[in-house]
Amino acid sequence: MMDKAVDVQAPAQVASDAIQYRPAVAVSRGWWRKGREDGPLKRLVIHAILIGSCVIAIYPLLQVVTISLRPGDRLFSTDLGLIPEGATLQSYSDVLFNSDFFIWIYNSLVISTVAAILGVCFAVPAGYAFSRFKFPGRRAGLLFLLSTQMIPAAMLLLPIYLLLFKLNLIDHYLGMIVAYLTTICPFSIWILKGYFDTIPPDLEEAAQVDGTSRLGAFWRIIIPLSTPPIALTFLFGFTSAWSEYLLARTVIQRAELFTWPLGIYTFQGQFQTEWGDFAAASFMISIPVLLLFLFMGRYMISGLTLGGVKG
Amino acid sequence: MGDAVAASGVEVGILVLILTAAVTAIEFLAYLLLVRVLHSRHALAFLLMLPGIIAVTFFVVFPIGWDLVISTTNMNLYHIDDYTFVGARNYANVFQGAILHKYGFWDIFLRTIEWTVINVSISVVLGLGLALLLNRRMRMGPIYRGLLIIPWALPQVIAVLAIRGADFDEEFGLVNLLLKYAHLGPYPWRTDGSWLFASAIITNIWLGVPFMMFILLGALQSISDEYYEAADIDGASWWQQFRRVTLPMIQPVMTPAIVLSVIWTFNNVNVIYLMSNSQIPEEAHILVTAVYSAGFQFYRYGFGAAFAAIVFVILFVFSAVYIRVNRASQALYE
Repeated sequence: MMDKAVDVQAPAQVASDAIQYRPAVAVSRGWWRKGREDGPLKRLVIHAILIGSCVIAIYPLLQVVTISLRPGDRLFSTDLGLIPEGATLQSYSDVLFNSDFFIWIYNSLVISTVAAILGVCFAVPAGYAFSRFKFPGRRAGLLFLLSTQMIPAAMLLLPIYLLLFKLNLIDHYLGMIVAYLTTICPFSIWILKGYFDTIPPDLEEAAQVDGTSRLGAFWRIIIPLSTPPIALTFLFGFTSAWSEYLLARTVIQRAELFTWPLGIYTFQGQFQTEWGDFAAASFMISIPVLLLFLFMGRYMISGLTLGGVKG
Repeated sequence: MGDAVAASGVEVGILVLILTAAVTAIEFLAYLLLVRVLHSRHALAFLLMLPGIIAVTFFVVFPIGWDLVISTTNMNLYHIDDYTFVGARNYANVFQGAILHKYGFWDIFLRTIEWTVINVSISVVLGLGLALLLNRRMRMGPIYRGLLIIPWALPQVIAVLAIRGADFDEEFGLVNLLLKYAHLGPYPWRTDGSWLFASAIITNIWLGVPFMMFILLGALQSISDEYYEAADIDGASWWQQFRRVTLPMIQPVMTPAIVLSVIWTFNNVNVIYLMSNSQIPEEAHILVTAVYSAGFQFYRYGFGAAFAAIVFVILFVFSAVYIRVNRASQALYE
């Protein structure tokens, strides 16, 4: 249903099975180092391949930067230089001052934040129960959660759309939030269960010996200890809703309520000036996302893998 | 900021209030029932589960059930309220005749397999190759890793639209310019369905390699040096070490990563949809995009719902086989 959601959902499962996997350690170990360093020629080839791959990986982003700087009369051009001739910031000022850019960002922010917070609120107690208690139906529940992560987005799109249509929630934030909770809820429960599994039960037992109730131990010991994983689960839910396109497209038709993916899609017309606006808007949206991944990427990957450690 | 935005903001507040009230009320009733009446041992577990159960029932189970209900009716744009029960006719229709205009179910199914196999196999090979190259001490290592994660980190809408416009434009796109320069092209990436499908595969591989690379790099880094030292002493060649040490050691990570990647790729509507500017040509359809088009472009809701259910069954069988085969995930439920 959501592009990043789909991306994000699954590593939990990778993790669930990849029990041996540990997050990247700072010093990489490789068999080629001990006793046999790479020769200069081999090193050259390795670096050449890696540099080539990096160029391919960042090239589209560089193109976005270039296009956003091109003057309006030569947006489509066969010039392949990075900084275009007659570079201008016109596209940026168009986007910022002559489009609904801030409204789109606002809409996306409200919808993603509320959906992610609700997802976490539903998921924390359920994830804890799955992690700590043995009760009838636990196994079936876990299997159900696992299988929800395999449901194709396109499959749920239609019933959700028709439900929202019947409930008169098309063109409402509410409809979007409900639709996003469909993927955020089961995923958040699954991943938080994994986090809680990594916290030793001794902690709560000690607290109970000291006189607090089971629920009190959960509230006073587990919740404060789990602030980082809870924040991370929020972040997963948030990013999945933040950059989702297809569902937004079916649920939102009024331009006023567009989220940013719908908004930048409107720039994708045949008109030359809009191509520059698309690039400028894309670049401004990409920067915070890329910074987030740069600083949080390691936690996100290691966090996802935590989900699978057996408690 | 418009009225609709403001009104929607108020709605969100009301939603949160209603949800809080409803959950509190249901929790209270459940407490009375489980603790006071039934004296259940599992009362606390179920009370903790309850918000999750309510949410999952409401947000997941209900839509799936609704899909199954619609799939037995003739609901479409003209019969959105006065639909009637038609039994299994929609299911039969999926396998008979064309799904959209030209191609039948099995044609699209084969193309979906082609799409999945090409995407996943190339992503795994490239991802593993890059992971092997990165798994050594290099001063540039962190820089390479930071740059190579970009395709995964970039929002998909931005990445795909940028690639479509800047690289696969028939006149100004980088790919055709390079092909023309090498006297190999140009090719109709936009106008011809099959070429569009090819461009979608290339884009999807670009998007998918970083995930594989990072997962496999993590697995490689967790292999102890001792295995390779022992292999060295035994005089094993590079290839023997790769076959006998590296591959078996990363197997527990690689298998689930591949299965997942298969599921995502199979389910990926976004890339093909965005590459084709929302008018997907028939030659570029895979199953999930055809489900989307049947529902939202042809407005055949009943048919689309039945089709969606069939696609889900295919994936479910695949996943069930995987879960059964994979003992590691079984151990999780002990």
